[in-house]
Amino acid sequence: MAFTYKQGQAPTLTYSENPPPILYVFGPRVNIRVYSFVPGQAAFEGHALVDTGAQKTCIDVTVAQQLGYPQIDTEKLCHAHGTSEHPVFPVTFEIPGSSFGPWNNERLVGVELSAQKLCMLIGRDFLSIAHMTYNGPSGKWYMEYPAPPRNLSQMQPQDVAVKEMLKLVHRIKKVPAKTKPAIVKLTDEQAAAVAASSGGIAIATMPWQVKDIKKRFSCDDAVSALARIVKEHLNHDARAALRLKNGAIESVPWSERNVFV
Amino acid sequence: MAEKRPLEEEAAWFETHRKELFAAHPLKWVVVLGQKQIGIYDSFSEAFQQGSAAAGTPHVLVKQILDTDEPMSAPALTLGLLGGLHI
Repeated sequence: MAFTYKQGQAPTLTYSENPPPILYVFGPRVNIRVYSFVPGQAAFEGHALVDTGAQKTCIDVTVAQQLGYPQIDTEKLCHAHGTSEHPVFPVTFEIPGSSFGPWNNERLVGVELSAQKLCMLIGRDFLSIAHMTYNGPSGKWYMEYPAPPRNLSQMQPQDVAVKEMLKLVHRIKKVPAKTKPAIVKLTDEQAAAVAASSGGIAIATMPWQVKDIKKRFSCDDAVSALARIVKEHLNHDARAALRLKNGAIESVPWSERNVFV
Repeated sequence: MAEKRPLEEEAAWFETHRKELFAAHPLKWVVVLGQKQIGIYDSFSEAFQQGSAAAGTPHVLVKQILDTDEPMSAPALTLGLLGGLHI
């Protein structure tokens, strides 16, 4: 395992010691250290599995409770027969030996993982700030952060992109006409289609506000406004990995993005 | 008498006030203790840290203000597919 975070390079976490069968059998796992909520209590160390199918990062409920974390919300989890309710904990954790983290008071969902000998499932909320490569033939996998990791709760899960987009569109609509803001001509369905065509990346979660739109954009249509937003954030925001091409929003290939320094 | 679930009172308060909160503070985070709103914050971390300090207890409801809460998915977990060889 090696971490690099050099000038001009994206910080990279690489797992490469294991032969290909190990990765095949066990999946992309990482050692994880979960700090206690109780001052003075020892941290818990265990394994976390990167699970691209999991929408949100989960922690073993017993580990969270043993470390004294208070329940601060509940989360419903879909399964074949409906939904079940799970506690949510504000967990502080890190990848031992890495220069990343600790991530403080992250919103993790408590589930039963002890039978799998896991203490965490790293879900797509975590991956939304990372670039991950799974190289099966070589048995290697990489995780790379194009920018220093931010607080996960500032990220919006990709699955809510469309919903967020629609909310944003509604907010733009409320801006008085005299300010010449972006005038939204898209219907909700069209806006949803634009968001969906971007690969589900949450355009609307970029850190811009209606007042900024008033100030900076005087576009006649929503697509132009989005294009301006994408351009503006492309160089320094990992989430702005989108661009407008031939009237459609597309994901920018990794090789064409500027590296955060 | 049935025992109260954790945060039941806070969750009920939030559901009662969800519409007005969403209209005024969409996507922000609210901290609730009992039947009382402690504060509105920009991020979860800020909400938990400042909200629990203001409330004087970490046992508070910290919730993002959305119009509805969609259930999350983790198919490998719910279908029991995480098992296999253990290390």
